Amino acid sequence: MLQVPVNLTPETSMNRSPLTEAGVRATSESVALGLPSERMALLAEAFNQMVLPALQQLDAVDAGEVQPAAAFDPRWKGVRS
Amino acid sequence: MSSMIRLTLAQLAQKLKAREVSAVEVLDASLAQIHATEKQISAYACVLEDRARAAAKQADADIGAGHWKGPLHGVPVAVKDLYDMAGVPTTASSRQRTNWTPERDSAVVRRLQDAGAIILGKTHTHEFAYGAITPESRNPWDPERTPGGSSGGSAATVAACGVYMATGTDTAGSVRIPSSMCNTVGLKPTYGRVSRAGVTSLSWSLDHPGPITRTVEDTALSLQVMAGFDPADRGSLDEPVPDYAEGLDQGVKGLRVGVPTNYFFDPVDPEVESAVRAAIEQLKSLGAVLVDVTVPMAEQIIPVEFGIMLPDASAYHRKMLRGNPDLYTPDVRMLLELGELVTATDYLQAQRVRTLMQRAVAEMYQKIDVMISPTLPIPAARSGEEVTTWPDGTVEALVMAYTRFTSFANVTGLPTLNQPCGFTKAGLPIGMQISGRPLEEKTVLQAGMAYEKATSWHQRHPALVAAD
Repeated sequence: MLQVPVNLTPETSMNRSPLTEAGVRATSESVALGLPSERMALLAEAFNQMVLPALQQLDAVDAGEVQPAAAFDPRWKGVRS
Repeated sequence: MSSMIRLTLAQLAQKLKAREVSAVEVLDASLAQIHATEKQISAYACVLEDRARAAAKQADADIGAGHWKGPLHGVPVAVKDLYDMAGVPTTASSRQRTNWTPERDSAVVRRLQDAGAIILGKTHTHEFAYGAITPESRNPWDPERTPGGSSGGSAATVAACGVYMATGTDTAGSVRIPSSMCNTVGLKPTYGRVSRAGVTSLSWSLDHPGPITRTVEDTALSLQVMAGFDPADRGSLDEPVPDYAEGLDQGVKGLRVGVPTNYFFDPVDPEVESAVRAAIEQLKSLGAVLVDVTVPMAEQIIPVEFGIMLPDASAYHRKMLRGNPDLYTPDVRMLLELGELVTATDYLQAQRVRTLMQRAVAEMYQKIDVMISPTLPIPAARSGEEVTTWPDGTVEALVMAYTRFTSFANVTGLPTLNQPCGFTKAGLPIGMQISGRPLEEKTVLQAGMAYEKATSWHQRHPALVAAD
């Protein structure tokens, strides 16, 4: 049997703050996205509604020593049917 | 004409092989159907009539000379407008791609053409496949509604009997979502089973090219042509390709069918749940063994999908987003800008969680051979609608509702089939997903075939397909 080191610990997850307009400005300017200023608040709101909950959910997983794969391989090596 | 367009691909192939019909006659019938329905469903970005006619004449000459290439020889098909075809614009349904014409065929287009298929057009997609609808296209079962997406043009024309097979791409469900809404069979193969070379990317490790047809057998025949190792695709799997049609009707006796006890029925429209549970019982009556399963880490499916897809897409579009952002539609531009705001560590966390999920799902599959769930929690919505409201008052964005169940197979890479399994009282199609182990498309197709043989949903056609 596989050993699956899944450790869901939402109670100890980081408290991630919502993204602010200033945060969007800092990020977008650092990567030369060229966003007009009136777009910053809109993006912050959209990020906090759509993306933040997903990232908070990922925060809840302790991935231990698992490394990101260089390329995704769907095969289950070593797993017998 | 109507009897010819309603044949299955497999039935048509036998008639072409036996020279009971010519490829040109079949092409003419398909073109007539497309011209008759296009105003209502708007499935096509372009119809390649001249090229298709030349190819059909060549097919007739080859078959007449005894050089039948196989079941797709002389059969009209369409490709989603993300697949490169030499000399034909790949618009990706975007103004970013004006005047963008590839010089080489995508791997799938090349394989289809080598098999003698007649590519008669390219179908609409959500812009760059970045959405779960297809704004240009309409649902043949109710043109007031969306056909789903992003391969909505492909599913719409297959359901409307314009072609016998059309290709789609599936990053969060984009083959299965429109298939569920249009009563077509749609397969997202194992990641790496079908080459992505020459197909416009949305997310490198979540994209899956796949076929959309009207029957399981037709999907098997199409996959046979599309599947195979391609060194031009970094994710391609160098694994043998089995004969997908061989043993297709061997049934499900003893097959262990996983029935999820969490996530996949919560919440679901009652008519959808009823249809899918009835289909599961049908499989049981055919000899399948039902096994309750708890899908591990299900609450992480959408976070992983979003955590990978958003930055991948923004990286692919990096230059265009900085150069001409106004050429994107507002919703796609917004998603691309949001992807720029996800940090590298969040992206890597999503990949690591994906690995954990993959291991946990592999363990779950020790107890089962396939898992069945609804493809979508709701049937097709009206075009222009953006949210659905559940009986408890919860409001859910449609893009989330449409991708909530399908993303499981993108994140894990598992082969997954949309199988038509009923209609709502309002006459809208319902689909179920059959998910198998990596590279076990045959098992998935056999389960779908057993169900299809026992039911008649696949024999229904929308009203715009004329009866004899």
